[in-house]
Amino acid sequence: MNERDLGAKLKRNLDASLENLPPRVLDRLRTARETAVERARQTQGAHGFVRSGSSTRFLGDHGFVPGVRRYWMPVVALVVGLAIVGYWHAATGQPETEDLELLAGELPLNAYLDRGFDQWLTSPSRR
Amino acid sequence: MAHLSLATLTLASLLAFVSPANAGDGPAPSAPPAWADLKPHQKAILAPLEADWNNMEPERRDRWIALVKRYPSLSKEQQERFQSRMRHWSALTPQERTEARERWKKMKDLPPDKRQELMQKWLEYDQLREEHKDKLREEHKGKAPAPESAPK
Amino acid sequence: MSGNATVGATIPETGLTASTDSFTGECNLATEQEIADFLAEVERRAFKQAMFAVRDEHSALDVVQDAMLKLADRYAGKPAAELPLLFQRILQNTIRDYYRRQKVRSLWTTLLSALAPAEDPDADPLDHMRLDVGANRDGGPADLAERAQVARLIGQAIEKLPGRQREAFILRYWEELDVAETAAAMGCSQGSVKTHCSRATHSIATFLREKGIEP
Repeated sequence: MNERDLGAKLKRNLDASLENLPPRVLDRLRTARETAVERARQTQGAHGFVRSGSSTRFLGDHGFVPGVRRYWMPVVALVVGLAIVGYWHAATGQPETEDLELLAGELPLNAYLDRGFDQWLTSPSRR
Repeated sequence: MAHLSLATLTLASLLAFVSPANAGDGPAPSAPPAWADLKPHQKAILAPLEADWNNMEPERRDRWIALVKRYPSLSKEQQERFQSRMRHWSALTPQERTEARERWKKMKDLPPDKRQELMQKWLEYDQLREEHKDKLREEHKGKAPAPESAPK
Repeated sequence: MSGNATVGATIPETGLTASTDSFTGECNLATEQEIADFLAEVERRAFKQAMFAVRDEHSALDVVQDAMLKLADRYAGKPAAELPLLFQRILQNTIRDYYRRQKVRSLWTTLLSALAPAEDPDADPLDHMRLDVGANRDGGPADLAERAQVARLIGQAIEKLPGRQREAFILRYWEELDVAETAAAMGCSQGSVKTHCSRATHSIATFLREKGIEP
């Protein structure tokens, strides 16, 4: 079997394996992507690059002439900024929930801290 | 292009303003309340921490206050566990807390049967004699950190 | 790869046509719609790729999210056709950064892997397994189980590869970059790409053969 054929076969298998990703993973990927697209929109706005799709429509549909449009730029940037800040707080800034669940969970704190437990779990002699 | 830099500026100042204000997530990030200033329901939940409260770093007090807000969402059993662990948690070093959080996250991501298995293992381990556990802890100390299998 | 695929595509809600060319003279620069479509197309592979490298769902998702945001920061002014390569370069760097941060891997990881499902359950004979997906498969439960098992073994084989070999293999054969593009994404010579790929496929084939799968 040559390298190229094997590579192609493995690719088919790997592609097929994508169909079984758990919903929680797909959800998080979608959220990450949407955040990135928001970010891209903001970057684009800041650079004055080509626009298409939703943001152009957002401005266009409301009938603003190009001259007026620029006054909306700070507003749009603000909204996008708030959305991103909000997202980051939601995604990374929920230490409280985390601690709450940890402290109220079934495992005692020592299960997370006791090195003896680590050792016991991983030592072959246990089995 | 002036309006573009204006947008950037606005955004930048906004971000600068918003982030620190939210960081503590407490009601008054600048001055966390002393024990005497806490509301009765907060005192009731935070009772295990009373002795240490006034000496605690402001951020940690904010954090506890935020937890108190969510405390009512716990079941009775969870509330009991929560309260019984507060002192222990508070006495840990920041490093230990970070580590426990990391491990807890990993545990949470396990499929339910594996999580169950892990709990079972903990119960088994917990039954061991203290000397045996000490020996395991010693063994662990002697072990080099796990080798890094990362690309260079 | 997706790249230009969406130029001229119709935006569903409006019936407007999102064509860069019709909008301005600065044609071919990636639009928001293109970056959205590109990410949607690549995200699951990117996740698996990160999974093979960091072996932890949480961290893998963090890595992918990080890479997506970096792409969003940097793509402005880049032609849509360059997105795949740019993204791969960012993703590989993000994975490497992750390793740098995780100098010592948590023992908890070892601990959890001790609980991981046993490899090769005896009840499941492997000797008749094939790598072919699609052709003359019945799609029945047994077939699906076998496929899942093969997929798991391939995953293990890829995880076992040294980091650079894994990178090269995935970019070259899963992402289907050519040798030059792979070299550019990895920041190494084309010769190294070839060597890495050849060693990687060889190791994977050997591993699978040991597990009873004829590659």
